[in-house]
Amino acid sequence: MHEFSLVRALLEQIAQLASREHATRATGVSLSVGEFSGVDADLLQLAFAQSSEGTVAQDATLTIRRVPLEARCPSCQSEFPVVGYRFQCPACDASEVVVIRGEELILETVTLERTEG
Amino acid sequence: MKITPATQEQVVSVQRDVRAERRAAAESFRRRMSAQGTLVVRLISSPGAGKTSLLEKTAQRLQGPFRVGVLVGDIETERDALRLAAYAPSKQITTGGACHLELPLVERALPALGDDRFDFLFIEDVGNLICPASHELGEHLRVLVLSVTEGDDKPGKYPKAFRTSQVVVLSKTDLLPYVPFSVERALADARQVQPQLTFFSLSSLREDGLDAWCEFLRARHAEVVATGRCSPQFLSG
Ligand SMILES: Nc1nc2c(ncn2[C@@H]2O[C@H](COP(=O)(O)OP(=O)(O)OP(=O)(O)O)[C@@H](O)[C@H]2O)c(=O)[nH]1
Ligand SMILES: [Mg+2]
Ligand SMILES: [Zn+2]
Repeated sequence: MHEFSLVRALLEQIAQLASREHATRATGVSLSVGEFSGVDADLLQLAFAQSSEGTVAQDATLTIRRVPLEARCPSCQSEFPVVGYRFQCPACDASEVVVIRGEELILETVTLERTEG
Repeated sequence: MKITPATQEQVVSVQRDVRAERRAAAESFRRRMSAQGTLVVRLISSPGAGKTSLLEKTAQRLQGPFRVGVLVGDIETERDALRLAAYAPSKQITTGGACHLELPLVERALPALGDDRFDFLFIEDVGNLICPASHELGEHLRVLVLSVTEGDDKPGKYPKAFRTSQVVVLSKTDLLPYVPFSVERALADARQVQPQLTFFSLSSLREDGLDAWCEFLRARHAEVVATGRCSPQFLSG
């Protein structure tokens, strides 16, 4: 379960951001999680719920956008979803394809709250 | 009248790779190893696929003309490092329950091997085909060891591990007569996931097929020494 160690890195980024923006807490966090990122979205939610306790993000809602795996063929330029982990161009059968999305784990936005006065 | 302090919400767009820092750390480790002529080879597999056995025979063959060091990750026990110590300086990294190695653990263990200017640094990861695939350790080569007793359907089950490896070693080939395992099918499936895979099939027990494997390693090491890098590199995670 490497999701816990990734959540630690995520929480560090959120804490840094909150302190830079003089925020008191984070109320929302949104992530893009690629289908082929090696990260399980449910485990990520679980790890976040447990690990965020006591941090600025402890009450934050984690929103996960799942990104399907897609590739591009350098030979014929077609773009296609990778089905069944067959990394092969369905148009021309080329096998050297380039993944264009679906491997990422990206912190998209953080909703911060500042208390005035 | 109760006065509540005004709170202000602000959505900050970050757009940042959560793994950016560890990727950068892995890249800088790999660069340091390349600069001193060390080829870093990491072995991943299911539990018991034969990683330690393969490293014993490999270290035995390379040690002498080359300097070899070995780090072995395991959840518990020092057994694998003790086995390997007969052939090369070895250090166990016990992860205390964690399912994979991470670079800080590797960097902390490295000084125990003494001078780390090896020609080959082998890192045996914890037996697990899921988590190690999503973590770079700064290796030049990720080698997936697949034993014939595991069945030939593994590439489809662990696509990330196959996709991010450069080499697949089919191990325990001496057992092929006794198990239903189609080498062709396993290779074809693995190539669908990663067309650039290099394959070796060998038996550490019978010492069969080890020459080609060691020859490949020597060639990759020579490449790192000559160019400061090792191709191809398509790691992720
Ligand atoms: N028949 C046969 N058995 C082998 C071969 N290589 C390893 N074994 C056996 O397989 C078992 C596991 O081998 P190890 O080398 O310890 O495997 P490992 O991948 O290091 O195991 P973990 O570190 O526990 O994940 C041992 O009983 C070995 O003797 C081989 O080439 N042929
Ligand atoms: Mg072992
Ligand atoms: Zn094509």
